Amino acid sequence: MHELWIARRILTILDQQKACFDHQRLKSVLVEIGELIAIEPSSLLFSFDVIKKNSIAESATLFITLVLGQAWCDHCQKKSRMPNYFATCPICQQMLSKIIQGESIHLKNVEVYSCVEFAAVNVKK
Amino acid sequence: MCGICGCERQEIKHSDEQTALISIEQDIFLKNNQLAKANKDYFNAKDLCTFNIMSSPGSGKTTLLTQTIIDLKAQKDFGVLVGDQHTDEDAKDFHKNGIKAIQINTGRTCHLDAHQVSHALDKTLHLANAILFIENVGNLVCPALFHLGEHYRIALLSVTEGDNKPLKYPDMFRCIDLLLLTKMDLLPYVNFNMDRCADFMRRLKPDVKILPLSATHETSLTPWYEWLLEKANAALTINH
Repeated sequence: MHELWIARRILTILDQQKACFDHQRLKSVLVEIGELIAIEPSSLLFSFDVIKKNSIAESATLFITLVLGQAWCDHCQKKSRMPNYFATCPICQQMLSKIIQGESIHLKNVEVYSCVEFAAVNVKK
Repeated sequence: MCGICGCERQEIKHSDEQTALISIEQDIFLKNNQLAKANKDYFNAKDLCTFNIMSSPGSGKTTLLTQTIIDLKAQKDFGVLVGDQHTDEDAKDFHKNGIKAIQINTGRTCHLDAHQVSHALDKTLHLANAILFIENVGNLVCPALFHLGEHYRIALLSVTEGDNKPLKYPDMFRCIDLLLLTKMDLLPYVNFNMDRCADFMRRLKPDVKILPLSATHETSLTPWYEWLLEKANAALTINH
């Protein structure tokens, strides 16, 4: 249910950053979600589609990429995949506690329609 | 007007094939974490040792906090911020017992965030050099993601809920400093294996402290009180 909160945060950040994309319409928004964080991508996609109406992102499609969980095994001194919080080191079977990645959520970038630039390229030809 | 880019210029060719990428690179939780930091600065300035109390609905958060404050009020000042979706039932319960409490209604959201807590602090409990409990919305998923500026996180798990909850809700149980097993007076009547629960907990967090108790029967409360007062006094020492 907190996915709705996250969708709202995405719209707020886009609104704050709107000077960056002038008044060009948004085509897509890319969000990176860590595999370990308790955020359900399908719920976030649904929430975003519901609340984007009449907002700066009305024309945008949300895309989500998953960042794989990784942890450091103190015993083996090696990086290891960590698909969930109960995962153990595949070599020594000890608990993995030092998480390297997979616990964050970032708004990475937006894609805007840029017809103007397209025209400029044509003129040069 | 161009239906693609929204501009009014007719002299350029409009196409939905040409797009540009604009980098944003922002942590979605950045704002919440900044507000949590501001809350923590406030707590430190006022010498408030703050505990974020989380559990499913009905695990006995309000009952335990009320009993705790009644038993310890001679030794320490207390305040409670209590989060619920609707009503001020919990705040009323605290007020009935002479406890300073402010109700936060989260409405459509399922957790407290740092922003809601900062607004509740505006109303002020007129507390200083005290223990502040933040009783979160009853939920084992969402509250785990939101830092409020608290010094410690405590989860309650009542024996009626089942011993496998840490396995089912790892996000919550891995981020806590203390697990309180509540409603221990009901243990003979339910299928709850203490060792199994402790084992699941330690697979998530090997050094976690687990204290069983019953607030209504007032049994085994002393270890919890000792832990609480020790943490509160330690936090004050660090501050000065």
